Amino acid sequence: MTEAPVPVTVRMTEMLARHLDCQSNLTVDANSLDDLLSELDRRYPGFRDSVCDEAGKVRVYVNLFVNRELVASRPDALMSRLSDGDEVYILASVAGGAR
Amino acid sequence: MLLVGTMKGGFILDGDASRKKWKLRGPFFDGYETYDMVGDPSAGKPVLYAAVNTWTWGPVIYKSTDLGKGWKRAKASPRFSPKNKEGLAVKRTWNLQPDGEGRVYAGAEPAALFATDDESSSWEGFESLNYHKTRKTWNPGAGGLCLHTIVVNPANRKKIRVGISSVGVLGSDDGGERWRFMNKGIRADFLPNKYPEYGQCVHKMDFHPGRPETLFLQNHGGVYISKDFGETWNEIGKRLPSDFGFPISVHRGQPGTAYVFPLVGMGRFPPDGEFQAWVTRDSGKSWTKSDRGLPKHAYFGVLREAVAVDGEEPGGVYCGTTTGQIYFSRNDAKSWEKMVDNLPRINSLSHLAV
Repeated sequence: MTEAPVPVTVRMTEMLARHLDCQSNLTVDANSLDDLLSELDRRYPGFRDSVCDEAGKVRVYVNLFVNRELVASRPDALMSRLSDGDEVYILASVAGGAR
Repeated sequence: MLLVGTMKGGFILDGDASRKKWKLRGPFFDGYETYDMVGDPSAGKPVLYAAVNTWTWGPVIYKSTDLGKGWKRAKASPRFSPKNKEGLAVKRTWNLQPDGEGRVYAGAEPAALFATDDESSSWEGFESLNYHKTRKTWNPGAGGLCLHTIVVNPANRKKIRVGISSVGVLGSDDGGERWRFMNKGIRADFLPNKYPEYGQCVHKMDFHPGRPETLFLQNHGGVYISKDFGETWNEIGKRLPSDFGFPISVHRGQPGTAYVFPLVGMGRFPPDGEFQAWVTRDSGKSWTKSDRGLPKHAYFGVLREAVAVDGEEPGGVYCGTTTGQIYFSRNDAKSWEKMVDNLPRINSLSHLAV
């Protein structure tokens, strides 16, 4: 039986919100990070591509947190399960000193 | 109009009819590195495209339908098929090339070729090139394994030539279905076999639209001409102070006139620290130094996409530097003046007549 999606809060860096022309704080119904990206991509085309490359890897300078836990570097990051009331953070690494 | 791609966004310089006054607009694209900006006038009203390589959210194409007043992220950007077995993913888009009939080609890193026929609403990859049987033996240049040059023959748009560092020239005569190496006569100084089938580090190619069979090529060591659209190449750069450089551009009114910007040493500096262009007006038989108005004590470089020419008479030549200046000649490179200073490192220049 497929689990019903649950409401989670998405908080993203303003850089990404500006890039995709969307709000930086959103509520989305999903039960995995993969579901969440699919729903955000439906609402804001290009969302998944901004977080993951076409081979399915989370982009190098994107940090994904579920609540306070960094999951971006896990091989199965997108399979991370979500619970009712979780907070998902989509942030950019601190980088740019060479620029 | 001069489109300027830099390491910190894109800019536009709007010129008056005399090309004496220029007004700068930008930066665009939130300061993200911009490897190429081009205008496609084929639809009547020009569409501008920019290859913006964000370091965070991946490489994207931006588009403008109002001459750069407003830019929008395009609906789609060049991407490998998600099912590719090699796990390839586009890291940067290096080159955008309108074919003059509404199609725009894109060259990417890792080396791959894509095209859009719907103004970047969708892109199609050239599978037989992107998954070429020799791909696993391709090696990157210092800038990465990038497809940086796309030449489409305006007399027969099925004839396409591309440049990849450091693979060399590949060509297709059937619109991109089949590809073959086209490096006969091009040297690879850095390999044991100096004339291999592939592995050369071609830096840039250009041609005159009225004589497309004649290609000029700046190689990583050597300047070449081909009079049969890449089937064979002959060296023409031996009289230059250095046959190393990145860009090569052909005058839009004179098919035998081409410009190069030699660099020397591992610092990739102008010869003797004096910035200079070299011009041939006879298809490479002779070269003339052109440095009137260009600075001495110059220790910058010029990147492969950072030279543009216009179709005006006398011809305009525009050259962007790695330290953010644009030098401009409006008299076929007889003399130069500084058009703008203090921009970020300049990746690309492209002229659009509006």
